Amino acid sequence: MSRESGCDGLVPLSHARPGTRLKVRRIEGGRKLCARMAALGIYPGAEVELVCAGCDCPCLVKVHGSTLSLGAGVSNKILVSGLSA
Amino acid sequence: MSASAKEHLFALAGNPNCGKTTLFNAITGARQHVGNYPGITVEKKEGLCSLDGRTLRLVDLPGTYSLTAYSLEELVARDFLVHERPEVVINIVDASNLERNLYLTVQLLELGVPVVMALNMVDVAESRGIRIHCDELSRRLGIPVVPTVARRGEGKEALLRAAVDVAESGRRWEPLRLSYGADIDPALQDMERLIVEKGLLTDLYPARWTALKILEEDEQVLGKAREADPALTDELLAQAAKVTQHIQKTLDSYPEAIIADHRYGYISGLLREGIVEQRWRGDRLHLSDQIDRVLTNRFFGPLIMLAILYGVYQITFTYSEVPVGWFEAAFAALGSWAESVLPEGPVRSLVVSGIIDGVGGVVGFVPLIFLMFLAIAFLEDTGYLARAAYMLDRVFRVFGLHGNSFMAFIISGGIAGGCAVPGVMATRTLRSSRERLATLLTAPFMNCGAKVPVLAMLIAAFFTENRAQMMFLLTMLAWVFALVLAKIIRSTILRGPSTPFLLELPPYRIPTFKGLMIHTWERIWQYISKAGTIILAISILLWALMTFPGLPEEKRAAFEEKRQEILNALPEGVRTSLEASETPETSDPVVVQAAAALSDLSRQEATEALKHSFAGRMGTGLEIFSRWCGFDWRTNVALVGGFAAKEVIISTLGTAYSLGDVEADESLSLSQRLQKDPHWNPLTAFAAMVFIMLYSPCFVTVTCIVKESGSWKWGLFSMAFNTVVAFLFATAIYQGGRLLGL
Repeated sequence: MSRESGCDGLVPLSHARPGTRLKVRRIEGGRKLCARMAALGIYPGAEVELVCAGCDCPCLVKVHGSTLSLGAGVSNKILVSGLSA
Repeated sequence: MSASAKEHLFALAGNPNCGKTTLFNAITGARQHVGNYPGITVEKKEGLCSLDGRTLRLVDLPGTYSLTAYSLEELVARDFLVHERPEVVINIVDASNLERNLYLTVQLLELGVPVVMALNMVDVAESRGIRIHCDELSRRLGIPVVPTVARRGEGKEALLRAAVDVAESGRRWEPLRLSYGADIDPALQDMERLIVEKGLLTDLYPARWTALKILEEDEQVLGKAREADPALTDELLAQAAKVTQHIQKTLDSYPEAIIADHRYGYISGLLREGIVEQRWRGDRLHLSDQIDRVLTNRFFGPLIMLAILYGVYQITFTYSEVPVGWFEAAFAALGSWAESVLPEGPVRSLVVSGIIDGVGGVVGFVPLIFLMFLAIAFLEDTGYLARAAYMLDRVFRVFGLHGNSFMAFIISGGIAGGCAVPGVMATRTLRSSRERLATLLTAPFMNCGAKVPVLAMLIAAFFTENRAQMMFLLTMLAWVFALVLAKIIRSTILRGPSTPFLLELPPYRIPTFKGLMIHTWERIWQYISKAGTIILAISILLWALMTFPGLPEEKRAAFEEKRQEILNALPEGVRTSLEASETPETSDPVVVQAAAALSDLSRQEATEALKHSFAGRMGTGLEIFSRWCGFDWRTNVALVGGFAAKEVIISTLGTAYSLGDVEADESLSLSQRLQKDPHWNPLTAFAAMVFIMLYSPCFVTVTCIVKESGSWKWGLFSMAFNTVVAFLFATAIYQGGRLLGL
């Protein structure tokens, strides 16, 4: 049951398939969020692993060596694609 | 710069969870001092240590991911570096998460501060098959890199030596110049040239850094620049806007993203070839992830969390009982000693009832606070607290709160019997000030251990059939009130968007004993030293309110006359022994009766005196309002006294109903007394219970609210707001009940 959609292959992190490795493509939601996410290691081009999503809880993402939990307000604004895309 | 300077100032900077505080503790041990940065709640930790006859002053900066101006922590860290100019910044870097940690390092280097890197947790990295070649990293970065294991204190001396060497080499600030690509670099260079020409803020920041911050529209830097040179700032901003527009149009991106991209590019360039050696794949699930599979499991996670919270609660309140008892006994002994030494009169009353009881009430909390903070420090240092917040965030978000609010609610009495004092202090785990304030204003609605005996007494008197159900109902009501009022506060006076939930879940770690002890001790000391002084003053004030003015002379004389009458009716021998103590050890019915009459008289006198005192007059005056919710002056006085500590409600009601001293645990006689009073009925009792549950927090809590929020405004607000809310609901219940004919 994949919810991946969109002609350009970009989906919000909150709707990507858990357990997969993904590539961050875009961060929407303004400069401030963009800078904050970059400091946490999430920036266009970064590879992340989605541990858990779509369970009402904040998403769990592994990036580099750390685990981040991102609320819906944030994870909806991070657009990702599959690694090969 | 003279090399003979014997004192050096170093700052510790690093990401949250990189082991910064552990290293700080390992270096400075107990020689540290915790304070707040002026006017804000960010903790400022300073410590001293000595090395080869030099004194080193270390400041532990708040953990940050970057040096932007988006959070208080980042601003504090940045301002310290710029204004205090530490000779060396010791940058602690988590070796198992090198790339992201270096993002902060790069920014420190761009600011130009002399940096010495502590490559921390090399043991964890090794266990994941990662080996980092420090010498090569040091060569490429141009700064000393020292491997450390902060938990065991390994490498700390080498680190300090390296820092001292840098400090004494007289190295100046040399900003690192990164390239941000063809879209940004030319504009940055133009801006930099203008800044150097006009000398804009060059005494504080490197010119290129100022240019970069203006490009990022950093509010703090812009404010300072405007103050220094408004015309130039506008010109620079115009240039920045042009670049930003261009990037948005052509790349559909922000300058921030480009800057971050180049910084990470620089970092991966640094790490390329021969710095990080992956000796085996760390693909296997780390232990931390395996634990997380269970502890944050959708079904078991919440259950385990409930069990853990229940455990914290049990530990805090069960094991603190005995030491709290010791403290109480010690203060009681001190009280009776003072009573025996001092002559009867206002001085004795002040010392015993005002000072010793007041201070005893505060110090009595210490064992409880100690265990609570120890438990929280343990959960925090292991990394579990972050998981609990993660699991609870969605529930609390509905009410405008944050996952971290949960702990404060539980400790304040979310399971009846906590204490709002440590509860309010536990809001420190909250980052956003709006959510933090909303939490610390609503947490005192919970039924703390001091309200419980009062509620239990009223329940015993009027709801004999359904005691447990009633207590449960009151606990539920406390939650409903706290959450709904939090929602109301968050949509009115503290309106504002919820901070997006963004939390790093640190890997599980076993806390160090030293760290736990230091964490716990510093919080307790803050409580004793700061709260103690204000609390002492207020408890003297409350004592004075309930003591002065004393009964007028003629009334006192009338009581004395009656007392003499009873005594005169007794035979000579017994009279002297009765005068000495009111409870003679005899079974002579005449004497027993006389003794009873005497103590009855004393109680009546106490009641009269209470009614006559300022507090009594306030109680009588407050009847104008309180009759709406069915309280008479006696209840009012008790409620005024309850501001000192909620337990006082019982003893004051006891005095007001002429029952003599009523201890919290033997409140049954008061229950029976109230049952018989025509003024009380189940409806009044329920209104009173709701009022007691909701009205102004006790002054210890208010003091903590003031301290935690950093302003008297919120302390006063909580007193007024909670009392108004309590009054409205108690009135609604009382009047509604009467309409229904209850």
